[in-house]
Amino acid sequence: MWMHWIYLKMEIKRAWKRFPQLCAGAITLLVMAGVIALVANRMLYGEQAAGRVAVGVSLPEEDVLAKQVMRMVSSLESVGSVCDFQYMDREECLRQLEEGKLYAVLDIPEGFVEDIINGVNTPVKIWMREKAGVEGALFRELTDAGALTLSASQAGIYAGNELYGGLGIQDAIRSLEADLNQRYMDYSLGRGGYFRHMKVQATEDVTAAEFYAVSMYVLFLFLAAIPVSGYLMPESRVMRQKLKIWGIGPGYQTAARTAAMATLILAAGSLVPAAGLLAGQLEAGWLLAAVWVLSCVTAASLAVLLYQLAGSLLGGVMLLFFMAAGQHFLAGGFLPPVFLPGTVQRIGAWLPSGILMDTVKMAVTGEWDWRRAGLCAALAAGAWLLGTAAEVKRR
Amino acid sequence: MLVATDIHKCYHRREILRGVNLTAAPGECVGIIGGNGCGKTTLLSILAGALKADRGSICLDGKDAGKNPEHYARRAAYVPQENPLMEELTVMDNLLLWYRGDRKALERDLESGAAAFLGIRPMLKRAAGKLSGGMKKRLSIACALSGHGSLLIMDEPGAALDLECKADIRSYLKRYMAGGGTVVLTSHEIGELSVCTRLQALKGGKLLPVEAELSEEALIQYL
Repeated sequence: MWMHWIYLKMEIKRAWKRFPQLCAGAITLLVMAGVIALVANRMLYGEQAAGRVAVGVSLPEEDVLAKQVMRMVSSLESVGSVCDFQYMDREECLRQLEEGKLYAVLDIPEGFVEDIINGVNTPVKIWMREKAGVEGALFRELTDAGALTLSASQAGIYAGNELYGGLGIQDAIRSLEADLNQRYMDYSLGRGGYFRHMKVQATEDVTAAEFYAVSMYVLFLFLAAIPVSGYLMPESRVMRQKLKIWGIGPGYQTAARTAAMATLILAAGSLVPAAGLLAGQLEAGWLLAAVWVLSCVTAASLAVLLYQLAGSLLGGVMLLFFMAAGQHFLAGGFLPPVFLPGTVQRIGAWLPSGILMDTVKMAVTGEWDWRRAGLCAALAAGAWLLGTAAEVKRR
Repeated sequence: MLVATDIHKCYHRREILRGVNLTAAPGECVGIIGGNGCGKTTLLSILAGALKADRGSICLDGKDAGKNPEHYARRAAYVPQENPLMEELTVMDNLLLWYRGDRKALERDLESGAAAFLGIRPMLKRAAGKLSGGMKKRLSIACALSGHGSLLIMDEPGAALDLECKADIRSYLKRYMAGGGTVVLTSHEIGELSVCTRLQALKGGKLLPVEAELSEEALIQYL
């Protein structure tokens, strides 16, 4: 055991001699990771995201009813949360639409509300920009939904009219219409209360900012091995022979390297949890410590495995880089999994990046999950076993 | 006494060694010459136990290396072309690793053993990777001899070294042989081969005897 201890000590010493290189590389990698995160975030929520839809409304002057209806419509939660109605005359509306300040214009005709009540379908003119983007599409959907709701309400009123006509109680039709109008309006305006409010986001249980912080941290853990590639090179034949004579088997050798590499990554990787703690985004405690150790050890064991498999410096760097970038993309590290095809999503969940990201997310959400932690530990153990097998083959 | 019998080795169906026989007695230095790619390094790796032969046997002091690999590896010190050093570590750490953490034995050798003769002490605190080629070679020999082996196998020990360093290594080899050690080395240089008591040429996968007093012109025909 003495020789094992000496060897482990020397491996850790060797690894730490590369610490300055790791620091220099870490700064470069963090900058790179930050840029990737920023670009990905913009791709995801930048141009494709819908802002508030500015809609110009032209109302006939002195039409109190129309003004009241528009006030009611804009107070609807589904409309108010998306649209900003700006009241102005028709010419001004069209000018602003032309200038791109508005996404759409609603031109309400004279007697519009009375016509609805009387069963006359006077159309509302809607102008839209040719390239209104997501906002335009959203507004179109809203108006279609509004028209459908109106049609359904009208159908109900007309059906009531017919029924009362058939029953010979035409006198009661007016009060029926007034009553139904009131009820439809009440239900329409108050319908928000019937729904369960649920916030849905592409990044599931974390916010977009947290998601990219987690993603870039994991990518950093993988790529952190590149600046210390020299350390991860397989031993020379003579050294391997000596190790064998000293009783240091491939399993112990791989474990010692992983441990040494893990101490390095733990040191470099501590910057991110430290920053999270300072910013008040993470909570100090055993969970954070466990996630930090688990993620770093797993990343170290994967790095050791890849260099063992590659067998050369350049091969190791290439393999690590392409493995990290490729599987990180497939695991939804750059674009959240929900934007990837179903098959890729299913595969991605089992890729090292997916497993590590799930593990690191536990520190963000503050919820320990044995399944996620176990999967991460199993990944580290699997990498160690494969690394040992590669070393056995090499020996 | 080293006795290698009928050593065969193939690489991708290409037979590099075809029944090599070699003996080297204590106090003897056998030089192996041959052209590039003729199999010298392969033969030395097999003699050092770092590579397995397809066929054949190696005995050292009457003990079969195949049956006693650990004993053989302790007795046979191998200095390959590339230095088997951990470049990030200091000279002291490298030596400690090869001495298996035995500081007393290391201190003894730094005082009066191979390490002392090779002039290791002044560079103990320096990183192995920052040493010159000659210093690395001295350190490699000191590391290889940490087990006080009776057989020293060296693959082109003087390659890329300055004249002073080559002379130092030669004088160390003479001292080693005088102490009863056996040396097997390969080289392309006449000066380096001058330390050899016997020369063998590796040609066509077999070892052929060569006269010890070899001129440069005569050497060329074996390369």
